[in-house]
Amino acid sequence: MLKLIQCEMRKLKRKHFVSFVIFAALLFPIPFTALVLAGSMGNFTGFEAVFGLLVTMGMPIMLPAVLGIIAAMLFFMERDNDTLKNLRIIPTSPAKIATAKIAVLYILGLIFAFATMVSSMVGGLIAGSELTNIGGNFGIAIITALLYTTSILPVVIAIVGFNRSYIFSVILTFFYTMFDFMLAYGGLFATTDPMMKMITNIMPAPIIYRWQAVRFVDPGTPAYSVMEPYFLPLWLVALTVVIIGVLSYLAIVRIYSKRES
Amino acid sequence: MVSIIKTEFSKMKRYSVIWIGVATMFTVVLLARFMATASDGATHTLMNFSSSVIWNNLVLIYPATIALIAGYIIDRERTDDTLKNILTIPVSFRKMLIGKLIAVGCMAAALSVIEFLFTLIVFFASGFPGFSIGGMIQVLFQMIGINMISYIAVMPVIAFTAQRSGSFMAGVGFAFFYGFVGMMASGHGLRDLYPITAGLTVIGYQDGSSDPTGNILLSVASILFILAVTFIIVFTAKNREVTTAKKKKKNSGKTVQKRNHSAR
Repeated sequence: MLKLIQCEMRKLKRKHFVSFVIFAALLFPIPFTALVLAGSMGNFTGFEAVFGLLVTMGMPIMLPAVLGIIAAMLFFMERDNDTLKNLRIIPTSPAKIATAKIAVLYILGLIFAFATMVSSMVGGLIAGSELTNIGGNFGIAIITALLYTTSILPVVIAIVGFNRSYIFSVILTFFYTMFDFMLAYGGLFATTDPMMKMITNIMPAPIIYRWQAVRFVDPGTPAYSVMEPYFLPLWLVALTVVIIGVLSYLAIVRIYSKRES
Repeated sequence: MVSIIKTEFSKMKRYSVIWIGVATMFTVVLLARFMATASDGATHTLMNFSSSVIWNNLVLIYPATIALIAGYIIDRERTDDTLKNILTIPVSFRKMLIGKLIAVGCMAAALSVIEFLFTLIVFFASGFPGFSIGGMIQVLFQMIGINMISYIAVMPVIAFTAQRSGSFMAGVGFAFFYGFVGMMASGHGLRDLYPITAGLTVIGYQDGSSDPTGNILLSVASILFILAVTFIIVFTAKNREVTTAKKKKKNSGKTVQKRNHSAR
């Protein structure tokens, strides 16, 4: 399996995926640092404010979007170059190939978390604050990246299943990301509509946000009192996302295994 | 130039990407309808509902979608290996790029009309109150106006990434970010200066949460600035991809050098 992951990483060199991920991770710190410098972040200042914005708003938007594009490239690579037949002759099972590709998504997710951490530290220094609680924040960045990487797996099912063009896959990814984001940040989990309640308890972004809000929403503010009844512990969020991830992984492997070329 | 644009329209008929644009417009309207469900007890008139469609489309998906469609149409000349034929006619890369940008501009207007029609269909199907002919015409012009201006805002990204093979996907990623930042720029008094949201003032967009009037001079200046940047990029545009022939030449040069080296 490690060799397969290594092979996938070698293929990445040709496509400049890693630089694409780092480029994406460095986009949001610029406007967020500007916001913090403008003093629009309430009680949060400097590094904590930049980091909070990146983890709660930058990552939910950029990480699924980038990983969706990369997943399409990874899973279409064998189809475009007609190399799946060669891999199956070796023989390498399609399940292992699919697993290696998903593992690459997780590695890129971790690179994104690292780039987010470094950029928020730079942003914090520019905003003139001391860098505190780096270990704890790094842990949050890693957990958030892992959760959001898992959250993109349902889209990968559609990408692999439909096996259509890149355009279709990218648009699908963008819609999923935006829909998920709006459910969380539009505060839709607080409505009385039963259908909306069910959706916001299943979709990843609203539940991840309800875990993050415990730490990143200012206590004592009106937003905090509105959010407080909806806070979730990490284990519950992780459990829900892991269930989504495992089901998606099984579906991806099953669909990919049926592919002949 | 007219014949180049006509050719682009003929090519567009074949591209399934147009249908993806149409599907995007439909999904944006559905998203606005979905969000209306969540807003407990609020009344949704045609103006409220269309404002929600315009806003969601502008900051969530439109800049990335139009960058994707334009980038795909330009990159197809490379993937289908037809760029070399066009360049030998000779039609310069710059002329071809201008032709494609104009054709995509027309498509952006057509997509706006489709967005408007979907908005009306969903509005009537939902039984929302507050319909008027005047309001309907205003919404149509608002949708065309904002989509054309946000297309202008992403044109520099399209023109820049079009010059290198396969780099349009990075441009699409950037356009996604660029559109999303509009949400924050608008909320922090930068609506007229930020190119993506500058059109909101021009079309007289009002959502009640931000400054309804804005500064039209600032907005127009911001749009003109982007047009000037686009002009500079297009004026200096050329096909900057490393061709296979050049790569082969380089590689064969290295091989000869290696051979000479080993002969010594």
